[in-house]
Amino acid sequence: MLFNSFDFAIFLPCFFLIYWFVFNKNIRLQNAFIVISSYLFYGWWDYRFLSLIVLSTLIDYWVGRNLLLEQRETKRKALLVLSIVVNLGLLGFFKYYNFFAESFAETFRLFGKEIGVSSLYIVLPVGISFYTFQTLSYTIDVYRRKLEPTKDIISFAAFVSFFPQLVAGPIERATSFLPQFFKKRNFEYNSAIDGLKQMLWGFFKKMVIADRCAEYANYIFNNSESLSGGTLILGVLFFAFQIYGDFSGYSDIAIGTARLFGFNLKQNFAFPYFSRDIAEFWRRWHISLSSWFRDYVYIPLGGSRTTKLVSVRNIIIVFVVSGFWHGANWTFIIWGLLNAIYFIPLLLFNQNRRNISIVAVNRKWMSLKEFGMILLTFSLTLFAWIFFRAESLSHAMQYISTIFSDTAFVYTEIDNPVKVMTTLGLILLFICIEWIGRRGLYAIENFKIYRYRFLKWIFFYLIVILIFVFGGMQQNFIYFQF
Amino acid sequence: MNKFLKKIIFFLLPIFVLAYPLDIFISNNLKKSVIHVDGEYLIWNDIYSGNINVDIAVYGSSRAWTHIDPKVLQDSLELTAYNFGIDGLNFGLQYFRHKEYFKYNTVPKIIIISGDIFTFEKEDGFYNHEQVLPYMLFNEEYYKSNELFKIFSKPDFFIPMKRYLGQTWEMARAGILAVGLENQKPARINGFMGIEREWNQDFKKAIKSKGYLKVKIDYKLLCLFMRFINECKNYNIEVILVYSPEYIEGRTFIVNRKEVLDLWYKIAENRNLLFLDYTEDSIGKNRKYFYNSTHLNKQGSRLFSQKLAGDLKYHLFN
Repeated sequence: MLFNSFDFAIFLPCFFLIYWFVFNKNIRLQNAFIVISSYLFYGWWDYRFLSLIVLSTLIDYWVGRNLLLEQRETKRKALLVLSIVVNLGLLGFFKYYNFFAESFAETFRLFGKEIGVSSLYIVLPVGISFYTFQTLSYTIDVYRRKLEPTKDIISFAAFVSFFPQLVAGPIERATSFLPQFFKKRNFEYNSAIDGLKQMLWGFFKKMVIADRCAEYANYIFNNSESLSGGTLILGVLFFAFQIYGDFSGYSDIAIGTARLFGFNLKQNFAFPYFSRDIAEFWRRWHISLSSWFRDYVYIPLGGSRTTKLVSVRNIIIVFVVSGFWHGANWTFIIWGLLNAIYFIPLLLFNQNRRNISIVAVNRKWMSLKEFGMILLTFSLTLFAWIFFRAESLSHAMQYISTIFSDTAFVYTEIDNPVKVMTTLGLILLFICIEWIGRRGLYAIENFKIYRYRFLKWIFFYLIVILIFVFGGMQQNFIYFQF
Repeated sequence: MNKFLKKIIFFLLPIFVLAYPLDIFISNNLKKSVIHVDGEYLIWNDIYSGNINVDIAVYGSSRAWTHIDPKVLQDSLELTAYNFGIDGLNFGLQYFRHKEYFKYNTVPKIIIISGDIFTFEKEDGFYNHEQVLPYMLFNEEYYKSNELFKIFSKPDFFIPMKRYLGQTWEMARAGILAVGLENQKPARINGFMGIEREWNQDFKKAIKSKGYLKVKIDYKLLCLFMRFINECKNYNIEVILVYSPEYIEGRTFIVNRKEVLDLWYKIAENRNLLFLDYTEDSIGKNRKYFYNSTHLNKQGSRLFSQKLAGDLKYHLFN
């Protein structure tokens, strides 16, 4: 079920009313209701893949329980390995089988040997990368004795399948999220209102920014061979706002929805396009994934508290794995590698923690130097997005070579100029709102106009009208495919 | 909780209250457009006004409404005519328009089917879907049509404004029409429009991007077409199949063109219908009559309509 669908518009109020008016007295019933509703939410797309979630839940619950009972380290390690193998095995099969099979055959072909490897038509279960990482965080934390394993399988199932963040995150940690299922949840007016506000902003990002940009980004990337370099630059700009609006919009809707039911999810995006360097960008983009990789891959490898050479190796590993997490294609690996290359100089010169707080945190405007740094970081990100969006490496190379050809300043018409300018105008409006609200958890969290009730309502109606008038054609959320 | 629910209701109430009048306002104004979506609103409005009382109805896709001029047929045959050609769509939606036409108007004596390569092609989208927006709300017939369900969902038919979500340019156009700023000549007269364009790059682009094309026949559509012919027989309507000229260099683009053309011959033979095939006509050998490989320009359509009128005269009155 998509957040931006009519089905969800029916599902959410029904869930809300039953959750608060029927099951409000019993937390176990509330959790059971979350599980059933989440399975319904997921099964709406394809009920067959529910079995994967159920399997993952049962295995990790069982592993968690046995990790508590087992004192021998070798046995405990074996249990952890079992959880990792099952979870990553499922992920690997559904997501990476064809990639490995084809790459394997390709390697043999290079040495002049033809081997027959059959590619399977495998449908990627929506959200598998997200819930797999979430359940893995549980078993790893239990193994590390950071978390007491739960006896309550219903609560654990609710933690794994919680519908607002099931298919595209934020990837929650068991240490902070699981305990929320054991606490009595009281309806909090302010929190619910804030949740609705965040949802509204998420819908704006998704439907007005992402879906509008998607139309042009898709067209330009799909027809890159016949378009000029200038238009291709525009194409990657549209894609940058498409993916940001799409994914951060989803996160806002998920966080806002969770707040309606008394849950707090972690912030997943913190105005990444205002970053002054790549290290800051990665602290602000898909925070739940970046921190997952930091805690479960980068730090166990030694992190930065080791020699520079090992730190560089660790950074490369983390970014390449992160790229590969996004998809079984060399383009994602190059995208990850590129980000590692951007990051390494900062690490070598100890500059990777230079910009922690948001730009111009105590000022209205940024300085010229900060503007230059933001522009440079954004340009590097744009360049990397080409690989992320391209169908193949050759497509990416063709795209880049056209950008750097003599048509770099030539624009090929892709649609009625008024329509293109309207989309660019909406992006500009979006940047302005994000800039004004950059100190909050999301852009429209706290505005001065909220002091005046009338203006506040006008502002919210204005967003509704913008969504209604400028909402693009309904598109799937990009991150569902990861 | 009560405060929260009250606030939600209070916030949503104006939206729900205004949705219906706004929908009526947009739909009524949008219908007035004489140029938008290739002038399709003109045809729908004519259909729903119930004033189409003609002898000859022309059905087909864009190759119908850009190739066959009802006025030329009218002058030559002394029979009134109307062109119901619908842009970019296969027989599924042509049939939907036919049903609506028959429901509100007197039936014609003759139906000319302007066939082409894509008449029976499987189609997932709905080109120019904006043309049905103003007529959809609470319309049972529209709701029952499988063709419209390809892109619309149930709430689009029953919830005011739902189908206009994101239709920026339709809403803007409705506003422009409301204040009377769209001041243009009707795009189509009796459903026909001659296109005053010179040969463009469409064909070259198609060759470059696709190389060639294989048309997939949708046999459900073929069955529908056969049913349609039977229905016409029941009404005593004469059905004539016409295949208008295509530019000679474009023919190789469709790899199974012969197979599709043979299908038309088989249908004609099987149902004992007159089939006027102009694929080998001299018009198809001269680029100056076309603006792309499948569409005649105004000059070409005039010449073709005259030829067709002459041939129809011969067959109908001899």
